[in-house]
Amino acid sequence: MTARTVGARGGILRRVKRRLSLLVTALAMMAGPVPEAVRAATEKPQERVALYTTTAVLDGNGRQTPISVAMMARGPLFSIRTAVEQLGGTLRVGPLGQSHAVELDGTEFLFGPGSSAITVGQEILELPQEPVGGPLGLHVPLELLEAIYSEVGGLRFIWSPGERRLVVTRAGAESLPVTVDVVHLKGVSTLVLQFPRRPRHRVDSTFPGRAIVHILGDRITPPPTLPRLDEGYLRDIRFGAQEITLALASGAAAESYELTDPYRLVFDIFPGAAPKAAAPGLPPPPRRARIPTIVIDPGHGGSDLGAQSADGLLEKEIALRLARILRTKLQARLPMRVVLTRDEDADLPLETRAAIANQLKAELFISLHLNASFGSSAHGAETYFLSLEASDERAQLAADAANIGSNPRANPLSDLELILWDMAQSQHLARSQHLATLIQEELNEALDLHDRGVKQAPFVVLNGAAMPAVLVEFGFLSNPEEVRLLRDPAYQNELADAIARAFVRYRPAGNRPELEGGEVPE
Amino acid sequence: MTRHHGIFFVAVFVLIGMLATVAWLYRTGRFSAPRPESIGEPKEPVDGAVRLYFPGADGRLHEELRALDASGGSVELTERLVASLIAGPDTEGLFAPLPASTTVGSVFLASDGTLYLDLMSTEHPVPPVSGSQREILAAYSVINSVCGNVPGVRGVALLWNGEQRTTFAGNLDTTRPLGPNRRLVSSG
Ligand SMILES: [Zn+2]
Repeated sequence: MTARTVGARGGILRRVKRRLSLLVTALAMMAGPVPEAVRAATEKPQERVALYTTTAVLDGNGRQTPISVAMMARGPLFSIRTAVEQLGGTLRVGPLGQSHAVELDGTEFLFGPGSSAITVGQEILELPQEPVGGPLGLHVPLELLEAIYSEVGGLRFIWSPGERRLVVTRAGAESLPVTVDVVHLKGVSTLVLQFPRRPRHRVDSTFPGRAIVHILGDRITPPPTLPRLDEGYLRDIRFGAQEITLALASGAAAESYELTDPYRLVFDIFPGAAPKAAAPGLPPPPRRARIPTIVIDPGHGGSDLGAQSADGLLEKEIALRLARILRTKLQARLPMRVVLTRDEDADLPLETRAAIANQLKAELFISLHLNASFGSSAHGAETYFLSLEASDERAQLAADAANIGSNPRANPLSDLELILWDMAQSQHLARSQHLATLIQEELNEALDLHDRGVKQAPFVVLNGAAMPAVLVEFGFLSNPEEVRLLRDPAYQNELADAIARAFVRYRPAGNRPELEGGEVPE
Repeated sequence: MTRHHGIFFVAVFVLIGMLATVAWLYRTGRFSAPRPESIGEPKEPVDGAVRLYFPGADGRLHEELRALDASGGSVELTERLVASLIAGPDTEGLFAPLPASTTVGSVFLASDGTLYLDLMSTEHPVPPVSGSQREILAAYSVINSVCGNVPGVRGVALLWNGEQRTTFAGNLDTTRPLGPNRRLVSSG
């Protein structure tokens, strides 16, 4: 319950905004002929107050059923309950009415009011507008229905506002070409299946020594040639029209995850201990190899340039370059998965960056930045971890509560609640400080800095990270001498080396050498 | 004009009215803590009373003592403090935290000690993006100066051109009020 209380974002400001939105609603009521209920949501008055609610026709599967529609300034929102009743799947609503989950053919979609993020497996999608709750249940944008039913259910939607009609049609099943790649590195075999788009699918690992990808709805075209499989833990790979079967080496176990742009389904295959024979009718023993994940966040990107030097060197560019170098160095030193929040010059909301790390259940999160200050003399690297502002007493309460139980996995939050919980980082401050200290020590040594210590600041990007998280400022773009250095690939290498050394030294709480890989019970 | 716009303008109009009323209540002392002098009596400017915090190139805030008219309520004092920060430091080597074109918009002190400060600039529709040290120094120059001088202020909620923003200039969380940061203040 602590988490829920703290999760309500923004404290006092939020309350003021809520009052404002109630005021707007009251005025709207007084202003006259607003059809049906004008309803205030909790925040952002202009965006979250329905202009009016109405009933449209959901026209699909040869049936016509009424569906409640909330007309927002940014487009219509549709009743998720009606949609699921008519189009299939199951809808589960959390006890507080916040988290909503739709399951369709084994794929789960998580979303809730007040967040434009939806999670599909390990993927996070951004909606153009947030779902809004109310007396008629949660209403969601068309894009959410498309996300659920286009990819997984093969349905297409056409909304005719004039007719108030939402027409649903079934798209013809496509044949998706698959490409296959296998690498064997550091005791892990990695199989990458690449598709032109995310297919509707389910991974079945219930049989020991085998993993089966069931393609639902679509058909697949196997690759013309297959890679050689004479080493590593993948023995064989077979393609059917709607399934891909992986045969694993004796005793090996596979863990799958998804990557986007382009869409890839990845299997890490480990030489795990031979699983015990499962009793008939029971699920397999809950034991799975697990490779640790580090998420590197190159700061800024896209239209957000970040700081820039007088001669035009951009923070967003150097941050991405450093992130890529660091990824290579970490992968060479540690058996781990390293994921960049952005691997291109693209806009990425601050909250999404930590949410990506949360979804991947990453062990560590590091955000890379370049500094700038007043004048031109400031120089050197600085490492930050989150500071909880004393004026936000609830954040402090969360930190206090977190110090009682320090195991994040013992926290009974669902994934959705976790990604919506904007102060998740308050549970991990001690380990964040530890990591920040190691990083700053290595940077001080590499750059011969003397008086630099670890700093704290309320940085948005760190707020929601549900794991130890730090932000590194590598140098000052306001200092011409440092700009010259930051341009130099050798200097960039030195900086990345310093961070990699810190990660090698890092130990999670309890001194478990978690970053060295190994097995964890699930 | 659409209905939506109509509602919005009515809301803005009523809001301005409310702010004006609140400002009037403050000005007349009806809304603030009891004050020693009664309304209407001539007030002597209290001099040498304020400490302003200006950013230095060393990444710290530096104190500057100023004689500033401390009469009036929290709103007027905040307006004068922030205007002085924008006008810049007397000390060589220190910097003005905000662009010279910035002005002070509405100021509102809530009963919980949060001061809502709206900074306005037509030149910068959004706060100029910068590196985090500059951002931190700029924000806390204002926050420390206001919290340190205006009685009853526990934290400052920074707004820009009337909008509450996720960050002040790219990194720093301004979705909630920020309290003063003493560690940034230079001891020398
Ligand atoms: Zn930055």
